[in-house]
Amino acid sequence: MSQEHLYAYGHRLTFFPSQEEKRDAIQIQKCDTLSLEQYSHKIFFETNQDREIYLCSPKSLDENKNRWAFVVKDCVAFVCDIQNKSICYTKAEKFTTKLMEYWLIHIVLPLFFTLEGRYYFFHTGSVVVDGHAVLFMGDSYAGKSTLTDYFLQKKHPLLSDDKLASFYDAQKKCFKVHASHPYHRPYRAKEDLGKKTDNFQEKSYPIGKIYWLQPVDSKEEIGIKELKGVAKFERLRYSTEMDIALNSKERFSYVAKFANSVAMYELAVPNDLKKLPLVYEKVIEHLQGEKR
Amino acid sequence: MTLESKVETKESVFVQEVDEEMILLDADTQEYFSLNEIGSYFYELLAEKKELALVLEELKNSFDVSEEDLKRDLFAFVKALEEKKLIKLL
Repeated sequence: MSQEHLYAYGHRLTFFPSQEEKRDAIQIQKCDTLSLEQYSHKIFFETNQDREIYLCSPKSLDENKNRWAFVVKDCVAFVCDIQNKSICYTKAEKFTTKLMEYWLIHIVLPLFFTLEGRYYFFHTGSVVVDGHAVLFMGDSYAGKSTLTDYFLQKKHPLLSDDKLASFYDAQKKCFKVHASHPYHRPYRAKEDLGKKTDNFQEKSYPIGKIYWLQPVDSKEEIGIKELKGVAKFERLRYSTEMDIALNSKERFSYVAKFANSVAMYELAVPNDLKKLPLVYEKVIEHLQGEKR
Repeated sequence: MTLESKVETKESVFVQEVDEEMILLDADTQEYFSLNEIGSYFYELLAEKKELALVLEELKNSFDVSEEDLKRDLFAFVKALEEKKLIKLL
């Protein structure tokens, strides 16, 4: 990864020192001394990638969401200032630049934009088909990354294979998503951003369809059926990333509005990699059929 | 619980509809609940009328079911909501 500039979730990240200053960029800076003594309000998360992680802030986040820190124990700490769009990081004993980038992209920035109230994040694979975002949601091991990777091989641009930033475009009166970042990981590895793809555009797309991947026996048919109401809402809630107990009413209202605006389908995917081309064809046919 | 009882919806409970199905969020516990079409109608009446006697009157106008059956269903529904701490029975 270039340490000078990077795109993530609709923003340029500017790593200081930099010659270029972009409006609306998030500034990332290394700080040699960073004291978290005042950051006494702590929220501990479940162990992630075998690391202890927590969020801390000088005031409770209910009182002030603007300034907080995210700590990856023994590795790196990020102090985030939402108002000034800046993130400072400091090294701990197991620090590497790659680890810092991984935690920044995968957790810190999604937290930053969630607490800012700018985006609602979903855990989903996503690609572009005919100018629209197509999302693949599902349980762990349902095949989200595998199917996303197959669409990439078929030259569909990547939007995300993990976290996707969604928002309501008031001008266009529709829900959209930002391309997340140009890294793709069709395999399981800890603290690894993955491979960089060239098939990635730094822009946002309206949401076309969402597919909930439902693995079925290898002998079963590939099937598609529409999900409505509570069934749809539950799956969207399940796929929510950065699910913090702040702004509950607004976030609830967002998912409900989102659910009422987008079409979601259960896609029965046979447990057989050889059938992936057929699954691809079925989805494309479904997308094209729905357009007619 | 009697027909003179009144209910109060909780301030921390938020309601949204998705494809005409009702979903409730209790922000205190972060728990979600869903109601089917009839449950949604009962909940809307409770939120609007407050007093069970008034709710029952409205239900009698809407359903071709005996008053006794409606009363039993209404009380069971209110009890379930109260147990889940989604309403307060006054």
